Amino acid sequence: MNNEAENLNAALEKMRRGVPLDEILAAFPDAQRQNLKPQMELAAEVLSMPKKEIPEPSMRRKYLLAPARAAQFSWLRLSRYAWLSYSMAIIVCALAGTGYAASRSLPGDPLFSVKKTAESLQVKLASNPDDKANLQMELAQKRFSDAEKILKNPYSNPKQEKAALTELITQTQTAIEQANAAAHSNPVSEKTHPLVASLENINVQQQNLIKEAKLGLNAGTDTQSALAAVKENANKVAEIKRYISVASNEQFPAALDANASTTEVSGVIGKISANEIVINGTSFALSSSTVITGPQNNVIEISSLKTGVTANITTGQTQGGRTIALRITILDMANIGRKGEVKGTSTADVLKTPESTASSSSPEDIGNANSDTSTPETLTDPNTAVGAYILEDPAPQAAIK
Amino acid sequence: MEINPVYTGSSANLSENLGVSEALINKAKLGNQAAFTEIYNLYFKKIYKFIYFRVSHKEVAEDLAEDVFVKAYGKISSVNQTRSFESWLYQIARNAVIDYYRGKKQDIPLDEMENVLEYESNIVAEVELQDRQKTFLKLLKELKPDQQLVIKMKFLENLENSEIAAILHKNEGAIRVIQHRAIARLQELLKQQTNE
Repeated sequence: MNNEAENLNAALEKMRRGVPLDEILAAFPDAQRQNLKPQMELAAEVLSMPKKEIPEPSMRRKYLLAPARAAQFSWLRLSRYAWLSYSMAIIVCALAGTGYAASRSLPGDPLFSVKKTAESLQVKLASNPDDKANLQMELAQKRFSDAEKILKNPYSNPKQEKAALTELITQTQTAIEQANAAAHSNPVSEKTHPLVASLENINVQQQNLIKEAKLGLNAGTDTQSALAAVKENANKVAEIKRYISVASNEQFPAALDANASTTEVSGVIGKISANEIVINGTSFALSSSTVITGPQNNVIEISSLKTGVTANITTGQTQGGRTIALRITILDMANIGRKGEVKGTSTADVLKTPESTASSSSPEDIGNANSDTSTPETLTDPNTAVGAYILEDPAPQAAIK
Repeated sequence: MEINPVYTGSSANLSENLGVSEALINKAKLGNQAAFTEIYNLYFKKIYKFIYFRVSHKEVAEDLAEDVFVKAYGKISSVNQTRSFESWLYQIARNAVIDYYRGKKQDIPLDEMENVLEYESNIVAEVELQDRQKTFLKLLKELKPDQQLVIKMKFLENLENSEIAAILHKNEGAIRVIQHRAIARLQELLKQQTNE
């Protein structure tokens, strides 16, 4: 059987090579030839059947791209759960990309609102008032950096400049409000003093930036209203500083002159401003450490004081020939009318015209009727000021006897 | 050069394909692209032809044949040395054809699909057959499946015994025996038909 199979195969191979059948058969002995002949004739018939013509293939060698393609498209073989993961990754990447773009956006840019949303979330996640206040302070510094880029860019448009100033001042107000909340929460916190110093610093920086900036067509209006808002912010920071001083029982006179004796004087407030209080016709300078309280030792904000209110002033320090009011105690709270609080200014009010600002509840309302809102006063750099936050140099007053 | 472009082995195991061919495959298994290129050059047309006979479409056959080598390239490192490389390659090609028909919603058993001859699916080709050839075609269907396959591959697809052996996972001796039995059986069937 095997021999027959081998003989047939050998004969078929010759036939496929084109050897004539007679020649093929002639090579075999007679006995084998008798068996092979009908098989080979049949095979010849089968081989003569029409065959498919095979077109010549092109050889593209796709495998040469296989390693790269395998890596590139390997994710196509992932399960539906992996697909879900990848979809999530794509969404995350897209959000990250947007987040990255947003993080580089400036006020007035379309993605700036995304940036602010992320920042507000960051603040919400802060665990305590101190951290929240510090984060708000950092954001105020970012807004200052944003504003600096825009205001110093000669190609910025007025809309961007206005947006930059609005964001800067609004954020600073927010930081101040948060700092006030932190101070009320824990006046003796180690974080509060640096925070207040930072707020003072940023107010001075803002004032300098705005004055240096050229704000295009709306320069006059925007600059002046922004400067007024900065000044108001500065006064609020001063009030926080006073509050902290009282609450932590800081003894400002002791810091300046430990041997100075104190004197008290009581009377009706004839005039009150951010840096001066006049009682019974006598003027006393106010400093950042001046403590204002009610009869129950509750802290009163300076902005709550008004003329006609009876107060007791404790003095005991002179500085540059001026008598400084160390402590003001309000004796008739009924005339105060409201609890002294640090008030914020709405965003809409920030960039008012000088006229509208002058008529609003600005720091000048405290009592400084002579204040000129068109030329806001220069803020003292807290890094160089000696303790007190003094907006102007009051006229020398006679010493209290 | 160490690489011999000629695959001298038969359908037998790689261990039987001694010498450069095994070295060629081993180099390809180690990621040597030149070695795989030699393998591609050696086998592409055979694989293409094998597929073309089963899909009857040049572009489809080309694509499927390329895919066979892409798969082979990616998995050659996992080839078992004791198996026939050629057989492994044809198995990938057979699977590619099956997947192709599955994609076309034609879930045909492989044996049936491979035994469908051109003349059965192409009426023009069938018309052109002579009466004797038509008879032969009819009798061919009465053979055992493996005999049908061997006759088809050997006489109509013009494959070598080694290739048929690789495709059917048999050795060449077995193919020669099947071939002989198939011819002998056809002879009997023709004789019976003539007597009828």
